Parts: sequence; structure tokens; C-alpha cells
Amino acid sequence: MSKISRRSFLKMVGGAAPAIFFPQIASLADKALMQSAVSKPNVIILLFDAMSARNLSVYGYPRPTTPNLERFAERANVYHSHVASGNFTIPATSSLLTGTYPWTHRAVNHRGMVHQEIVDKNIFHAVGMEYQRLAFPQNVWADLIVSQFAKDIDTLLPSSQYGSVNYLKGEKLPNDTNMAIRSLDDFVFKDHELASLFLGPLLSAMYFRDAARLSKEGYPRGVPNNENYPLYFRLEDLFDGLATLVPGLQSTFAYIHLYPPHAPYRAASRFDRRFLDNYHPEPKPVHRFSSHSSNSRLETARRFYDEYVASIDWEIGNLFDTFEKEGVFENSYVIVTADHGEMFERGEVAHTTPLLYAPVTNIPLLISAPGQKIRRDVYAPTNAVDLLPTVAHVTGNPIPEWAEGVLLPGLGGVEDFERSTFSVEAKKVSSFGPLSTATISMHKGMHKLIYYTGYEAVDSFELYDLESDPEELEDLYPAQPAIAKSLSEELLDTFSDADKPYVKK
Amino acid sequence: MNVTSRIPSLKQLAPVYSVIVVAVYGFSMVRFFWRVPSLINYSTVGQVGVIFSYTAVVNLLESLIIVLAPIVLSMILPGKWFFEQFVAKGVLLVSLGLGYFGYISSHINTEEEFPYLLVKWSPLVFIAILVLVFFLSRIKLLSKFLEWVAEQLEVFLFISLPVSAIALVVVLIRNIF
Repeated sequence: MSKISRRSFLKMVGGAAPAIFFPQIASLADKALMQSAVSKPNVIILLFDAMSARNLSVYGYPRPTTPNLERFAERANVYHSHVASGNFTIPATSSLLTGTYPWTHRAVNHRGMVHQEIVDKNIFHAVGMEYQRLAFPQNVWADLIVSQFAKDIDTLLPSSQYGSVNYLKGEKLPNDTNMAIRSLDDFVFKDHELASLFLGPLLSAMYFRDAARLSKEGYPRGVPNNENYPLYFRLEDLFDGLATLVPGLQSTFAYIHLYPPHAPYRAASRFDRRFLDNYHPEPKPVHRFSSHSSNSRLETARRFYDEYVASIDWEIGNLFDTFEKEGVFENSYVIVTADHGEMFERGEVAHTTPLLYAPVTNIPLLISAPGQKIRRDVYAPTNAVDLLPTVAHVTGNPIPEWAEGVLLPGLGGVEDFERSTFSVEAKKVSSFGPLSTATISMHKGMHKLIYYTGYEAVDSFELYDLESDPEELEDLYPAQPAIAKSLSEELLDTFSDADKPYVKK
Repeated sequence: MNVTSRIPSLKQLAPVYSVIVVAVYGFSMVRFFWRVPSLINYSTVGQVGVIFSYTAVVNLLESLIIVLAPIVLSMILPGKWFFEQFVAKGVLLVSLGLGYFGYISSHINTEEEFPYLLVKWSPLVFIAILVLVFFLSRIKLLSKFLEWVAEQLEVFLFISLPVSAIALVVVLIRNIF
């Protein structure tokens, strides 16, 4: 008969308490009790939507936005050249969860879906049934992807968990959440384009009334909310919820996809106006594909974003203090990352843009292994598709042969500076056809090549040397023909191979 | 005349319901077919069909709720006021009422621009509609015209009801199994 240690017992009790208040996780707590004797290290992915590595002080940003992540970094592997596979939630999350690039999983559109033949190739499946698999996609678009993998997930918390106002209709139909959200929340009752003549205006009126009644206390720019769906939440409720949920987990793989710091940027009062400082990044030339936002708008948006990031970091600090107290770091891989970044330059705000510059593609990745006490910095290029093979590896599973990523350095992999990794943006085209209008960026060694196809009569390239020009200001494509030729051939060959099944003969 | 005797017959209900169906389903379907080109970028035909099914089920529910308004008015008001001209008055009531909902709907754009004023005034608007409805008996030509239009629209029931029934089965199956 296996013995249960005092520590395990205390954790079991900790796991049972939240189950009383959150029935969705009751079954998880029960299973944790049963599995406690054979517990494996937890893997907890904390993903922050639209968190650009470029705006985090842990990665050298001049504003002190993330002192708590800096503290966390002292016990973690810090990946400095980590890149998102896509530039908004749908493709980027799908890549992270399937370990494949957008040209393979084909979830490239707004509200897009992972193609049916890829659905079984997901991180929850790769982790296997020996683990409890929990997902909390607070961003509804992430839920549209995660819920496609529902049969491989033991506990799927709704997007409204820990929310303040919730008028999401689809998640009230648990057996068909994905299509119900697509039908009801994305179409019939979509606030700005109602397709329901009678119930639509009534429900909208109720939602806006409840949102208006919501106390704005603590949030001078309004309570944070989901930009596209009728959901409001307070950061403190969200993180308090996680502080209750996570310490109770055992032998669990948890994918926690948090909506902040996605727009609208609504910092808590203690951080509001925190960065009314003299920091004015050098304006970059406005790109022809940008939305041509003025420099003052970019600076204001950047400040609001930075203040929101600082608010979130403060909550992360509290959460990690709880993790420390409850021993979570001793038995868990804690992974902090993002799906994609956010941009405040070249005339562009936010991330749904054809532009794939560093603020959009460079995302944080910090991984603390169980019991890790020292910091390790990794500078070799890594990509979001690398998380799936790495998680499979650390959970004792084989690396799936379909995975397009590799093991992360420091967690079974080695630093490879000559490896090519990609980011893909193709939201305007059919996912069932060739990606005829797209932007693709390729990182290889010190170089980054960006390819624009389908936007203009002639396709174009940009080439940057990230070592000497990390701000991507000097396009070397015309000046370095040999490197340009070699890299563009590789990019076009890879793209052409990936797109081949969709090109009509 | 007791309350139950003022419940309209199916023959009276059908033309009024058909006006509701045309307005409610029409409003959704125009938007649905406007959305199809973007839907097919990432959805299979089956998935588009499921979205159509959910839409039709919501429309069925809405139309059944709306048709209760003329039925209840007919039951609670003296026969002369509503029941005796159920079709014409019912058609005018639901047409103007749904027209106002459509007007509100067209003004819902963003949180800041939510048409609170239109919602706030809606009780008065509906009282005004009721007053118009009661005066309808004095305009015989309009009554005849409304009855004629409603009769022409009854053909849509032969489409909407079977389609809604199939849609309801689709939605139930997806949510039960």
C-alpha cells in the first residue's frame, strides 16, 4: 500500500477546498486525491494574451514593467529569442497547442479552426491520460481552439470563470460549446452586428446595463473586459481564483490562457499614470501596410499598455508568492509565455496587422523546472511550436512525430543558432486554399527575413540583422544579395512545401 | 364572453405569425447570408449548417415569444378592442413593434453608443403603437390591406416551420449526445 506524506495530505486538502467553491474542478480534486501517491510533476502554462517581450523589463525594456517576472527569472530558464508562430490568438494558440505552424494546422482566420485531421494532434493528447489535463481559456478565441480538443481535456473551465459580468451564451451549452459560441456569441447575439431582431436588443440592453452598473472602483479606465465578447473581469478576482486553483493540482498539465494584457488596456489605480515619464522611443518610419496611426496615439497606447502590464505583473507577484508558500515551484514546471505580442510603432497599434516585426512576434518564455533555484539565459532562437515536444518530453512521453518544433534548450534540447523558425500571418484567405495573401517571417541565426505576398502586384522581402540592428530599421535585402538569396530560397521552399496540398493542380 | 373564448384560432393566428416569421427570420437570414463568405474561409459546409440551425432555433423561440403578445392582448382586452379584428390589429401591432426593435438594433454599435434613450422611451413607444392599433378599426382600407398582406406571407410558414423543426433536432442532438 502506498503511503501519503504529510505534505501530500496538506496539498490534497488544499485541492478539495476550491472544489467546494468551483464545482467544475471537483472531479479534478477527486482524481488528485486518488493519484496523489503516484504524483508526477505538474506542468503549468500561464499564458498572457498579447504580451510582447519587447515591453517587459525582464527582457531589458527601460520602463520597470515587470519586477516580479524579474524575480521569477532568477529561478527560471529565460528564453531571449522566443517567437510566436502567429500574430493573433487563433493561429498563435493553435501552433502552441498543436506543435505545428499555421500553414499546417490552418487556423489562420479570425475565429478560424484547426483542421479536422490535426485535432487529435494536440498538447493534451501528447501529455497523455496519466496526467490530469486542465484548460482555462479566458480568451474566448482561445476557447474556440481549446474546445476543439475537449475530448483530450479532463477539466475545461469556461472563459467566464472568475468573471464579474458574463453574457456569453454559448458556454451554457457544455456539450457543444465550440459551435454554440460560434453560432450564438459570434453571430446571432454579436453586440455590434446583431442577427436577432427581438432577443438581441433585449439581451444587449441587459448586458450594457449590468456593465454600466459594475463598480469601476480600482480601475480608473474601466474594469478590464474582453474586447469581442460580453465578459468583464477584475484582475484581483482572476488571480485570486488561480491562487486557489493551482496549489491544489497534482500530476496535472494545466493550460491557463489569460486574457490580459490584451486590449482594452485597463490598469489598476495603483499603476494608472505610473509611466507618465520621459521615455519616448525613437519613432520608426510608418510602414505602407500599417493603419497609419499618429505617433502621439502610439505613445499613449504604449503607456496604457505598459501600465496594464505592470498591473498584471503585480498580480503575478502575489500569485507566485502563493506558489512559493504552497510549494508549487517544488513539484511543477511553471511556464510563463504569451501567444503573440503587441505593437506600438511604424504607424501600427496592437497585433492584427500584416506586419511581423519584433514587438508582435517576440514573446516571453520563462520556464522554472521543479526545484530550480538558478537563472539560465538562452539566446538561441526558439518558437512557440517547441512547447509541445518539450512538454511531452518532461511529462515522460515520446515526442510526437508530427511535431514541427524541437526540444527547448535546457529542457532536453540544445542551443541551435542556425535553426530556422517561422511566424505566419494569413487571416484574409481561405484556410482550405493556398495562403495567397500572407506575411511570413523567418528567423535564422542573426537574420530575420520577412516575406509579403499577395498584398501588392509584386511580392516583397525585408532582411534584418538582429544582432547589429535589433530594432529592425535597416533593410539589408538589397544590400546583401547573397544572404538574401539563400534565405529567401529557403523560406519560399518551406512555404511552398507546406502549401502544396492546398494548391490546385 | 370569457377569456378562453377570446383565444384566437389557428386560422387567425397563422397570418399574424407569418408576419412575425418573415420579419424575425428575414432579419437573421439576411445577416447570415451576408456572413457566409467569411464563414466558408474556415468552416465546413456542416459547420455552416450548424450555425444556420442555431440561428433558426433562436428565430423559432423569438417568433413564439412575440406571437404571445397579440394572443395575450386578445385574451385580456374586451373582444371589440382586439379579438374581433385579430388579424389586422395583430399584424399592425407586431409590425410596428418589431420595426422599433429593428430601429434599436441598428443603433447598437459600441458600449458608449448604446441607445439607452431608445430603450428608455420604448414603453411610451409601445403605448403609442397600442393606441394606433386600437384606432385601426376606423380605417377599413388599411385593415383590409394588412389582412391581405398577411395572407400572402403565410406561404413562408411552409418553409420556416419544417426548417426550424430540422434545426431544432440538429441542436438538440448536438447538445444531448
